[in-house]
Amino acid sequence: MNKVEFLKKLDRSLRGIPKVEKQSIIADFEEHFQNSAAEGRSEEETASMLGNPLNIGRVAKTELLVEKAETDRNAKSVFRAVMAAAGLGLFNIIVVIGPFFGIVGVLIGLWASALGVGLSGVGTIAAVGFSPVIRAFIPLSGAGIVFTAFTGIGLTAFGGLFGIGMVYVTKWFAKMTLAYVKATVRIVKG
Amino acid sequence: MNIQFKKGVLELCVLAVLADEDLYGYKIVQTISENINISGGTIYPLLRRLSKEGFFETYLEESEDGPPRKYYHLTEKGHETKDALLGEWNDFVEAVERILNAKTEEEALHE
Repeated sequence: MNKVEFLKKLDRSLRGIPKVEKQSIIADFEEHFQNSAAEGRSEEETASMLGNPLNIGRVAKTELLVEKAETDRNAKSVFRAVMAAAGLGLFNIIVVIGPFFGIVGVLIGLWASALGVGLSGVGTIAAVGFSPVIRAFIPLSGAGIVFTAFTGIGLTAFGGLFGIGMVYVTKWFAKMTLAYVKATVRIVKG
Repeated sequence: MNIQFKKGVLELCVLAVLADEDLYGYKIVQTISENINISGGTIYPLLRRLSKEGFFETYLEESEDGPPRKYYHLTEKGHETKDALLGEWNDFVEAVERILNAKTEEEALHE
């Protein structure tokens, strides 16, 4: 493999990262080839000493995406980092990708429950607000209305607390995921 | 040598190589791969990461035989980290040696 082929492969494996970062990484390797040539090494020799450009690029890309996810702190960035890491074909990441999506599914379910409980509470309170209208059709006692109002407030509060709890759980899970990906990529691929 | 061993000490090696003098990428890769059998390309992502973490500063300097070179200079933080890692490394080596020596003594007793 010569210099042009090496850089082309590197460029391809870095697809999707910010242009500035990409150019800077490629410039490092271009400089390496030039300095190596100055010492009388052939391009082929230099390329084989550097190793597989696709691998180098994928590792660099994953590291960048993990860093980005750590600053962005949103689901999309975390997913992109996890997918890039999965693309490395590392056993340590492949084995956890199934459970990872399982946990994501559970989190989505719990979020939906929190939302459901909260909304049912809001709905109950709204029904109490409309009780004069409802009472025109269905006979309801005063005590019943008070009870319903408290139930509504209780459900809303519980839904709210549930939601706040979920924010913490989700953040914690995202942090753990990124830490795992980072540690694995660093240990296995340098 | 076990790949995990190499990766684990690569960071310390890079910091140590730069402790005494500023070097450009090619020289760093050369110095390390002369001694440790590792694909040189993996050192560049490491250099980028350590720069981002504030262990190096980089600057460009003209060279006589070609385009300017990017030099890496170890910062105060880099020196501190190097010393800390070196301490950990020495403790680790000592501990392993103690275990290995204890084992040999035990074997010597059995003979």
